[in-house]
Amino acid sequence: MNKVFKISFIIPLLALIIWSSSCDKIENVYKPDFGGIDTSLYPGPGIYEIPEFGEYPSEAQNILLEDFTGHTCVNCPVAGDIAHELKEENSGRVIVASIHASPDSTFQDFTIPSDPTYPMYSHNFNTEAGTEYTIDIPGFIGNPTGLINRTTDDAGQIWKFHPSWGAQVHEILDNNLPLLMNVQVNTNYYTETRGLFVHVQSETFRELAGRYNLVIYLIDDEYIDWQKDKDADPEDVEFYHHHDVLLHNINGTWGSQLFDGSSAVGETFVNHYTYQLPEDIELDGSDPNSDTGLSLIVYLMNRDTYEIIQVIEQGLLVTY
Amino acid sequence: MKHYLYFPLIVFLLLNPRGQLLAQNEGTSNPGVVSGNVSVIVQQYNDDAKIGAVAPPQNIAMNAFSNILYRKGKFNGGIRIESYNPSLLGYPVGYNGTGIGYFFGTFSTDRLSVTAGTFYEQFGSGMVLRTYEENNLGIDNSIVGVRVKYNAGKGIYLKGVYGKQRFKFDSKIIQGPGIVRGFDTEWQINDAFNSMADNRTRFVVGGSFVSKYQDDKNPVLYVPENVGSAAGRFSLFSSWISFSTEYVYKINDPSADNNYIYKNGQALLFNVNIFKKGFGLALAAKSTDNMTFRSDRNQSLTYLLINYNPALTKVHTYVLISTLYPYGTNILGEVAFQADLTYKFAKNTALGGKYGTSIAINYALALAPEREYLNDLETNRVGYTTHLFAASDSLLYSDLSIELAKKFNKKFKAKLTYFNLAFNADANQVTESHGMIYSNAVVFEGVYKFNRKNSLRFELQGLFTKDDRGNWTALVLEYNISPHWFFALIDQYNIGNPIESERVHYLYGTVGYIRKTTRISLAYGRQREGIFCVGGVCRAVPASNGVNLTITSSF
Repeated sequence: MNKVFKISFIIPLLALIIWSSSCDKIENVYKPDFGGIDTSLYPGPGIYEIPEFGEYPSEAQNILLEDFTGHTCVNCPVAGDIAHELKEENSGRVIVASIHASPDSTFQDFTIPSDPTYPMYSHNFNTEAGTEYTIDIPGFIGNPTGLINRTTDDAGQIWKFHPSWGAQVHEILDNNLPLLMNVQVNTNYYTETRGLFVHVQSETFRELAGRYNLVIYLIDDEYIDWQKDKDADPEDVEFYHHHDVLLHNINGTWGSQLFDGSSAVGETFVNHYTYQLPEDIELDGSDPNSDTGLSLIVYLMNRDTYEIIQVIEQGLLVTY
Repeated sequence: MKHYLYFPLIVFLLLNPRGQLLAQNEGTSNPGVVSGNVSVIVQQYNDDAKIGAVAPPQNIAMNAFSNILYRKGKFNGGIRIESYNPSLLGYPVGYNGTGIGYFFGTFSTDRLSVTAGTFYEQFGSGMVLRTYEENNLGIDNSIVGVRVKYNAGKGIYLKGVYGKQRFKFDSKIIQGPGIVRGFDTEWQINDAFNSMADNRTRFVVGGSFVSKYQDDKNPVLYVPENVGSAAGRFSLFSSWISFSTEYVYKINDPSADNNYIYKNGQALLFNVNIFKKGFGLALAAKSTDNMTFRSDRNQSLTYLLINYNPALTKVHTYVLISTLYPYGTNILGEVAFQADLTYKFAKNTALGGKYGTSIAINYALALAPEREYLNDLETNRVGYTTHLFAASDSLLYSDLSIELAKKFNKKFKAKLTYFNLAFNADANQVTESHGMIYSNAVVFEGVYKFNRKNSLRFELQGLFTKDDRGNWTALVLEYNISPHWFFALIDQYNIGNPIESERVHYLYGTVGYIRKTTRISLAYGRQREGIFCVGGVCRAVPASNGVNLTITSSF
């Protein structure tokens, strides 16, 4: 009998301990950053969940080559070829964004139906962010010109002509500089709502001080349209393959600030975004896991010097 | 397909590498006992536009499994090899490939039993925890982990479970994301007190606690990562009456089922059974509210359910009654009652006749709970308030059946059953119709024995309704040549369909052979689109046309 009483005492006590440690009573149900992403773009079932992050896709510092170009710029295809070759030769390490921009719209004009040459050059490749870069980053020379991780050379130049791109890219690759921060991205894209969910995790690998931002480009892997080319005859090429075209900045021209001050080794930052793809962006595939023909370029930059300390590119697949 | 049949043999030999035959009796020199069973269902499909049947690209589908169990002394272990290539049409998504879908090893002493691997378990009535396998529905929510049972003596039994649930099957078990932890204790009071040991009335009390853990990945809401559910129960058994009750409470558990509200859940169940010679009365009452409990808050249908909400309805077997408007438990909550009366008129009385007559009356009623909505989805998300057994006037289901069974002579016995069904098609979406579907049905079933070996069983069924697809009839003929052969023919006919072109015959013929523990049947015909339910849990079955081969055996 004594045993029964002992057990009848122990069991409720045990149950009370388990109950108190195994039940989370929620008082405030909404997270403070509610509204940061638009969950109405999730078509279901259930409620949208943030996917888990895995391993970082790169353990080395990659290079972002931003090719500032224009579709009526006859010298730009040469630069585009150099950029594309550098990307092909250094897969995953060299990432290219073709940004159609100039401060005064030189080489950027596009035709409208009343123009006699319409529909030649009727596509407007310009983006608000691209134009701002040519204005805000000092020293823009003209198309074609480029930025390589937005680093300055010995002469203090940040903008670089295309003949020097190869040498400067290889110099950075050869230097194999230590990675200051790393970044990874997870995406979900739902064809039903054209809703794109982007989740980025960044981690500080070396102690850093300053203002650092995260920027996300939406890239069209290939767009075929008119381009002037001095080496072509005639120089108006109808089916020119424009590679890695910047379509939109998912989180604004200068992105989202990660920190202003210092960041210790191991500090991680998680950012979430949603973006509804406009109807005029055509997708290659619509089946689950199919390639949409779009990519995201995600980079971390020093907001004061513009220098990019890490960049990755990830193709955009259809979730369902 | 044959190589699937070799699987059990291969595993058998792996378990017994010396290839020696295992004896059926245990002893110190015996290597143990192997037993098991095999089930193979192969279905060939044809397109049949008349009934909306569409053959899958493979044209043939197969569901097969084999359980192989091994027992020796204090050790008991087993595996189940499952194969879905592809699974039968209408089977839940997530059954693919061939592999091991169940494995366990149990070590038992007089007091202690420890199981590692997959296992099925139930605490009390199952309203706080029930993991089970129902092959016909494609349900397997077993726990993959560890279970410990301990007999503490004096009638006290303790159980603990810990693990993740089986979610899907893709040539192996795919586990759900949540962790399930549970503890149950039961006290058989009579065993604790010498003065009560010989008492013919026995008392049992019990209590359970189950908690699940799942990461909070919700970008908008703080969802509880640990959700607990507790239950208390009491049972009484005597020679003429039994009574049992259980109360379950669950804390905030926002989920896809409840539109992510934070209301607590609760349920209360009563069962009373009274039995005398020739008389039986079963009464049940249940009130459930917001009591779905899954180890993945974002799942739906039958996936990853930790608990079970019992259905208080009669289990029907006649084809029209059981598959046209069957009742599935309302997962959001319901107030339900059931009364089941059986009475046998004694032999050699006016009503009993020479062989006796039995009558069975069953009435089941399920209503939606009365809810007061709070309109707080932008703030606290509690959703609504309600009380146990506070029923609204929203009828979910009612089912009255009156069955008369009589044996007329040594060769012929028959049953006549009347059904009155009211079915809420909005709460249970089994048809394209909406609103209430009211129907009456009559079934006449008879068995005629020609001689010791030959018998004929028949059913004449009619279901009459002005709603949905109108009236149905069904004819079942089953000829048995004991002990080996049987032949069956079923014809369901939607005689009253308002659309004349949809008045279709669903003719289905079966021939079967039974030898010892092996049963083989070959069938061909049309199968009607419908809902198949077991214990209030249902799955949709699409229309099909084709050949079905079923083999079951045990060893």
